Amino acid sequence: MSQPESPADLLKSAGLPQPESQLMDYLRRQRWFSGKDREIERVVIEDAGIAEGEPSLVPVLLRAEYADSGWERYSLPLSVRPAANADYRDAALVAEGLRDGEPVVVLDALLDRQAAARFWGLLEGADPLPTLNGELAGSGAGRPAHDAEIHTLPRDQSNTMLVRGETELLKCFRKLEGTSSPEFEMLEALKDAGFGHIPTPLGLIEYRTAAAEPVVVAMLQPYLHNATDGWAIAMTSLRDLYAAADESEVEDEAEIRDLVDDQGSDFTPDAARLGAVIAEMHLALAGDSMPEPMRAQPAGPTDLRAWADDMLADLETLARADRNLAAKAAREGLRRRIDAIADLPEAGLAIRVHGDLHLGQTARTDDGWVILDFEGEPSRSVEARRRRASALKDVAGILRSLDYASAVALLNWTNPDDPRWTRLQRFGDAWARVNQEALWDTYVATVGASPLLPPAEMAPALLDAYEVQKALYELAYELNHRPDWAWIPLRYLESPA
Amino acid sequence: MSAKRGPGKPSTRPQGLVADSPGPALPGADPHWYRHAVFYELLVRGFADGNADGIGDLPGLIDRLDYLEWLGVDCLWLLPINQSPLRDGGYDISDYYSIQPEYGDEEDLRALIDEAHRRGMRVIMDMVMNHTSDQHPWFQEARSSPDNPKRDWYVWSQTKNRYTDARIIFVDTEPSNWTWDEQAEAYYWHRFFSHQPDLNYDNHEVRAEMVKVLRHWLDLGLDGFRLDAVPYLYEREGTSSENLPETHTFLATLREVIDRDYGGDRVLIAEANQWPEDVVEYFGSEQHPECHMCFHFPLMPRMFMALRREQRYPITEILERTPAIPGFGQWGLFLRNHDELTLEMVTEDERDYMWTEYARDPRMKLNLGIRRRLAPLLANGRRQMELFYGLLLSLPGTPILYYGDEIGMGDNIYLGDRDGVRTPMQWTADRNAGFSRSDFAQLYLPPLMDPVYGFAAVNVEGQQRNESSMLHWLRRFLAVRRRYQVFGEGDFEALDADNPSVFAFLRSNENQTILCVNNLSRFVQPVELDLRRYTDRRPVELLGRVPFPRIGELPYFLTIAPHSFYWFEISDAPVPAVGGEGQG
Repeated sequence: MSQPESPADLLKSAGLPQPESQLMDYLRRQRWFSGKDREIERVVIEDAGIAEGEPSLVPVLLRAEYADSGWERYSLPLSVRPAANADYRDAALVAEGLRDGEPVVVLDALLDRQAAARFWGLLEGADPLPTLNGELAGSGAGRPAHDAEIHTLPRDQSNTMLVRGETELLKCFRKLEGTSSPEFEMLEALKDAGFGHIPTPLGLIEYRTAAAEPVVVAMLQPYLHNATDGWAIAMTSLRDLYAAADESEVEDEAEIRDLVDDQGSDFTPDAARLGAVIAEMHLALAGDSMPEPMRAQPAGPTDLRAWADDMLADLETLARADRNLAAKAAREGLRRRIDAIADLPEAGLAIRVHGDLHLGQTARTDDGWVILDFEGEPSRSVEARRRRASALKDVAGILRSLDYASAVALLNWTNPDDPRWTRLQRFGDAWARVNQEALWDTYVATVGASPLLPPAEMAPALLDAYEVQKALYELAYELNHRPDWAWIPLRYLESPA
Repeated sequence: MSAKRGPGKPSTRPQGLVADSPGPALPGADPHWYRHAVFYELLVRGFADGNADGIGDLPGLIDRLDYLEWLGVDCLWLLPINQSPLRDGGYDISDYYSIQPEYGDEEDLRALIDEAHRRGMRVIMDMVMNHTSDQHPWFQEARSSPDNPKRDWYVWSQTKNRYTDARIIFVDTEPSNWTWDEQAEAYYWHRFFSHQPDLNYDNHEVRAEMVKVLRHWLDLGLDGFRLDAVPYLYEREGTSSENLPETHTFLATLREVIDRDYGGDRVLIAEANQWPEDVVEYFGSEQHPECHMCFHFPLMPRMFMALRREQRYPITEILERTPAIPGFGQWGLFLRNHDELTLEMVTEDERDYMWTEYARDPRMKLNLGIRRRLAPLLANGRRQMELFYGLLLSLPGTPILYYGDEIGMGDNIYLGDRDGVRTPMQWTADRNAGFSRSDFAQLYLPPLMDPVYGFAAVNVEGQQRNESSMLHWLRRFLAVRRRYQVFGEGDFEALDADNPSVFAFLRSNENQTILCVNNLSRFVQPVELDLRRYTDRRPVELLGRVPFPRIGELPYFLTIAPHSFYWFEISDAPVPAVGGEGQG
């Protein structure tokens, strides 16, 4: 085959006659594609390569450009097979086409077992795969190749997960950041700090060009066997609670609390252990082993002002959207809660944090809790996600998540029109409170004398402000995606601090 | 001397049996028989009374062997039957060479063993090696004078400041592991009650004597022993005096002697109420084997916890932390036994875990430190009992049933100490529960008579007549289990499930793969299992041999009724398509 002149030409000769529109169609159907609400102006094929074989592996990097002048970059490795005898799942099909006059199918390589195995092979000493403008290269583990089958994990939101032999997981990023992944640097730093409650990275596949910093397209991690996420376990506990509440005649606040305490599928021991693990994570992130650009710094008035400004900006953005009067009504109170932190004299340490910690980012395994997904809040810029914050930001996230869990479990149990709703809500509130306390108590006990947190009398104000910010983030999300759930963060925002 | 027989109750001992005959051999003796067996733990005193004196005995038990065979029991474990003042349920032996006279004599035991063997069943008994009763003549001699030859058979001291790193096990009753003996004018060492002085295993005569004791009963035809309190045989300054290397050396010697002289199919079961990491030491190694079986203590309370929590982690965690054991080894699994759910004998770690997870729950706390039976612990829930038996029969190990639990007997916590779970076996709705023809007042303990668990409501006869009874249900599942060797010897692998209330696992060997799916919740649950490694094969449900849909590329979806479980064989054989399939 003669050397194609452009990445698009390369794809045309591989079997995609109109690569831009064909790939746009495929993108739009994917759950991991985050531009579904935006008008796509065009798709630009930035780079592509081809490793001939059966099937051929065709790495593609493309840019989706939106009418609002924003853009996002995606990794979309393809595989090309002769159409005759090709056995594939419908979901994997990108397009049918011709290659050198022969009918072929173009598939999503990550959903094509053999192509996925070739992709995975980059981590196992296979030569880098050249593209027109650079290469895909594996680094790290250099594990011996073995022939355990590769499966794609179902139900993924933002990336594609491949699992091999129930021991390794290859997290293939779809949307790519301009620079190396914030998740990878966090995991590496935590590993170096000796923090064990993470899926320690074992290797990377990077896209390298002469012009820019390498970009991570896939990360190899140990597969967490027998894991369930914390959200599912909290749901189990709450289901049991609402069932018990329905069967009891308890009305009094203290009695409700007793019923929660005595509940069979009590979550508090798990919440307590989770609090300890989060504290250990923060102590590691505050430690001396962190690389210079990630190292902890004392948080002073300047940081506090900057954090408060960030929060106020979130508040303003939401208020401008003006999609909910209630948010407006609560705004002044919220502003006061945020402003309160700007007057604090000190705030402990400013550290790199998880940034988007909630129950769904935790996994219960036979070895205890594991913290997952260090990518930060996906809607914020990478720069913002890398900004140092108080450890209390993560704590606020997980405390809010417990509140969310009690509300969502109640929605699973019944609906707000049910006459039982208000009574059951009191049980859910008590559950959230009991578990928040359990988590907070072990968190504080584990942090101990470390300078991580602000002095005890100042911590509540900062924690409260972060909770407000988290709830604003939740509200923005719900208004966009699930307006029926907006009451969950609103209920928090409208309640007195 | 034989147990005194009451009027109208003839001896059940088979006539014409010569005392020293070898007895019937077990067909096709498999040296690993205990890995595929179902054990049944029983109290001779409480099982069946053959001579109408109000106390269960060996002839009474012989009478009931047909029942145990019918149920599907492979091995009887007799709680201590050696002569004893019974201050600790017989775990205080005063003569290792004789049987408690109320139960019968050596002839009766030989008859029991022969009759059991004739039915393909085996018999083991409790053996207390660590200590004797203070009534034992050895101790009486030892305390009499420092020059007595038996003096060194026990552990003496002029001070209590020795072995101070050894914890006190019965903290509620014993202030120290040393007790002053006026007659001996010295302190003697005891890890349990002060009326149970520890034997001195540093003395070679003691070691030789205990080997002689075991030989005595093996010569009679007994199939093995449950060795009581093995971690405590030796004491060493500066250690916890538990799990010492000397203990393991002694057990290895014992095993060697038994394997060499008794055909290699007698079994030793260690009672070491310790963390699995320490317990595995009692198996020894392939080269230096010690015990064939050890009890898995932490598993049982965690099953109760998993049910309360409606999630699998309490179980999977402990299985994950259970180390591999030698090929000949087997875990002994039980739902309940004669002991209470105790925090006394577990490690610090497990105690912490139990206190934060278990004892904080008032409904669970209620059951700490007292002995309960399975049915009352599960609020008499039939589904829960079935689920528990389902787990007992399918987790890796040999199931050990406790007498009476097969019919869901209750307990009487007001009888105190261990007696609450030692009430007479409930055979019929007749007088004295069919246990004894004595006067009611003569019974060693009153049978249960309450409206829920009493013998009028819960008894063997009634349940044998009712096909849908707990007893029939259990018998059916014991039979299913028996058909699949993989339950006794297969590997265990927990399967991933997004739903924490579902506990799914595989048991597999080179020939068979069984999928077990358990719902720990009181609500119906869905689960999606990744079974792609078995693509194109079919799960076939074991009880009804019902073929389930073919396993494909997608997650395998099942719904499970509340507190239910399914067992499937992952069939290799092509299964005939069920109606309609292949058209879609």
